Amino acid sequence: MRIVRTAYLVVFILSFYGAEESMCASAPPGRRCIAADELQTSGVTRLGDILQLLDEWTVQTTDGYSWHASVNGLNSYAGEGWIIMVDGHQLAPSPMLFKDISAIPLAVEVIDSVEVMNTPQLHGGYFAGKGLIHIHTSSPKRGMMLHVVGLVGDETGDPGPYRYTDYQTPNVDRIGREGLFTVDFHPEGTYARIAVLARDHTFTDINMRHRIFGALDEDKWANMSQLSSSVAVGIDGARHHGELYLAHAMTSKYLLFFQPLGREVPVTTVWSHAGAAGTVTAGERHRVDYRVFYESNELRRYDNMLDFDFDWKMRSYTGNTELAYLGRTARLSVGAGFERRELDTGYRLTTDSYQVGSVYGSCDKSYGARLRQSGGIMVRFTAKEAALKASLLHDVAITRGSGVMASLSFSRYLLGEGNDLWFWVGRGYGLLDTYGIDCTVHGAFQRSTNVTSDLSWSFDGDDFSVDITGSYRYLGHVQLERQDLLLNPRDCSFEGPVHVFPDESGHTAMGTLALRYHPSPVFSHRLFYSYQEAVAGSERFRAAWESVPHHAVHYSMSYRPVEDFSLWSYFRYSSSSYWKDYTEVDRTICQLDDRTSTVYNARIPSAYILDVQVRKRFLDGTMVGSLLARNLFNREHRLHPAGASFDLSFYVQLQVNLHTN
Amino acid sequence: MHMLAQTGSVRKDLLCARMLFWYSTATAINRAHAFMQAIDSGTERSIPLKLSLLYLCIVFMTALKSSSEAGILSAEQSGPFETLKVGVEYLSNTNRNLFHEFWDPVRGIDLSIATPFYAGTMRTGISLFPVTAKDVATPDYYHIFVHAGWGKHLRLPADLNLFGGFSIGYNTFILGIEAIEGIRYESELGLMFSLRMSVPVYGNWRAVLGGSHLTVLTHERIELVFLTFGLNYSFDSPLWFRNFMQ
Repeated sequence: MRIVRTAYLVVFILSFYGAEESMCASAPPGRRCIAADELQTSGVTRLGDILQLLDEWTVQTTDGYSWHASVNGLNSYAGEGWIIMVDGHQLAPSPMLFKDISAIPLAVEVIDSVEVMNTPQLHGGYFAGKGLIHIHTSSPKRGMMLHVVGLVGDETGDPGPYRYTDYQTPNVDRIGREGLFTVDFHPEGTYARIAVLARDHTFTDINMRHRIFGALDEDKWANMSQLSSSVAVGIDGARHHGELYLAHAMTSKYLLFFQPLGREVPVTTVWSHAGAAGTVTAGERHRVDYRVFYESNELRRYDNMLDFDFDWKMRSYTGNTELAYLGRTARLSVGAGFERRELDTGYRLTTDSYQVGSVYGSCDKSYGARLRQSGGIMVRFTAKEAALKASLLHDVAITRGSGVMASLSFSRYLLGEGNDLWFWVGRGYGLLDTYGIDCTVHGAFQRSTNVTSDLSWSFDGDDFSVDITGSYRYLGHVQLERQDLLLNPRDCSFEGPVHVFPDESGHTAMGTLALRYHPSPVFSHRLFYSYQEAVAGSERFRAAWESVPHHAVHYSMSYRPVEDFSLWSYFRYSSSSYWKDYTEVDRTICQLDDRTSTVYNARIPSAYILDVQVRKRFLDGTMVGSLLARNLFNREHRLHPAGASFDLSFYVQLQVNLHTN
Repeated sequence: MHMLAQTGSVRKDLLCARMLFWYSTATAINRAHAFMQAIDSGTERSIPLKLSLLYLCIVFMTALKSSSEAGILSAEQSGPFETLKVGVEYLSNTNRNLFHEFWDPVRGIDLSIATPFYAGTMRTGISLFPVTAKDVATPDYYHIFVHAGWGKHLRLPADLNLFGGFSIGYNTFILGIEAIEGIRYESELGLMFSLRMSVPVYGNWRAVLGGSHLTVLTHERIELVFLTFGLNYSFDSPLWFRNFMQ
């Protein structure tokens, strides 16, 4: 018993210090941790693929490039507010309308672990009320390390030699081609990591084809290109660990699906980030964390037939400091932060900036090996209003290996905290008026409120574990948009006035079951099932949740008979979903040319998808090759009524790792 | 006495299995030729899909059953990457479907290299087919299929060897479109399933007879069933190759 208790305490204390080598071994309750090994052998070829591994996250996309997520019942696809962090830096490589996690120039090979928060809690100076992904990179090895990664993908369904016959069909070109170059330097006491990522992505799906051709005035496939780079310089002293991180990404000809316009708009996006984050320790029990970031996001005009220009450039300045006391069985911390956003646009704004401050504190205490409690409270405030966020978590060990965890949270969100389009439209951002988009706001915008509770029972045996969770959420004063869309047959775009309802409320319930079985060190399975539904609330609230599939089943199998070779398969089932905005276009055919047409549906049918990856290391890990097949059954797999169908696709990735002392 | 009886039994098995192999080879080729002649003469327009492959499967399963009863099935003998096997095979297309309304039956060659790979054999290769169109409005083309895959060997009586496996590969179509202005190259992924039986002919040389089914994952799928026969040669892999693969 003493040994168990001591081990528990070691893990508990290591988790406070954020020791990278034990990040997953010591993942606190309420968080999921994905270790490097699992990432590298689980079909993750780019960062965006991580989202598909998160059981509690339901994702949708129109183009397979940028993603939207409904996180563990904390939001439908509307009102998402999940956070991405890399080594303590919050990164937002995305303008207001989408999240582009794949733009972060980071090789999967240099990731040590990914920490995922699915329930509201304080983390790194933020209140993760709508989900958080924290990527921890591995410490650069001593000497110099070079990673070069090349990826190419191909979606099946080209015409082939039938191109010049009566059976000709549109071409479906490659869907990914990217190269990533990373070099690490690690002399004594300091290190640097430089990364450059170049990528293109071709938008080929027939569902998007006509709209894109109409917007671009080009009779060929639209090909987005992206170049991003980063430099991280770290100091690794006895009492101070700090890292300066600079990143820049430019994406040209991205076809952004702008829902109010009902079609894709070609844009150029530019993202820049500069920041410093670190920890200063004072004695064995005290430490100070600091974070200072500058970030800018821009949506530039790309030449287009729509003459559409977002004219949007957002700058943000963020600072945060946190003092922590690390006791033998408890951790106390207090912190304060500041954030300022400035919008640079040609539209005349009533106020072009938004400032918010925050103060917070947290306590994490264990009572022997059987009970652990943690709680956090944060107040965010502007000059005019304040909002409280709080979470409480109990983790009780019942018997050896089994335990119960209960969590409760309350969070209120300030107007503008979500940094969405409507907040800035209210301040004079006149994009919709300029382009004749009919928009009506029904009522006054409110501070939204989330109340969540989760209760889970888990058993963790030697080779088997089970986790059963029931969750309830109250989402109050949520802002929802509705459009009764009609199809414009001229170019397969959608039209309809936008109605914004700022005060919708409802309740959702969710149940999950997770089973893991690893009968041998080389073989493991994982089965996950979830059910979620809006159980009460306004009609519009329930309609928004109908777009999130109710049932999801994930089954993954990993087989690694030797260190050099692994086989991974991932089966996913999701039930159908209904998108009320597209009711009027249900089963409407859009004719592309004499031979080709496409059908739009309001209901996305259920889908079962099988992904398989084979990965082989050569020359003792100096080279790594992987072949990934997505949607091996070649079932229709669509995630948005206006979006692409993701047919059977193959990805080949080749990686070279060189290390010199 | 017992040893002698056993040796005699193996010799009898060996003789029977080799006779079965050569009989099935001759019958399969004969049957494929009969189909071709029927098509060329116009008396046969519709051949049941994959009939040839089914026929070969029955032959192989019969052989497999007899060897299984003899209790002498075994997997790859060499360790991972210890040997290499290079092969050349002639491929003759035997099925008929939509594809053949536009193009003549396909014939070509396959060059391959194989090595033991953990619980099986890894095989990579390239297949080349010149394809002739049936009318002038449809282009002739060269079809190149570069593939890699995995399979499993089963040792049968009389040193016969059965190999079953699958490959994934990239098909390139170089279209001969002198009369048409347009795209000259097309490409698409493909999957191939194969069954091959081999028999020693001299030293490390083996004769191969088999069947394979190629699916090109174009929008209108191209399904081609081939009868294949050829030779392969095995040798110990060089050290640099083993070091690279490990």
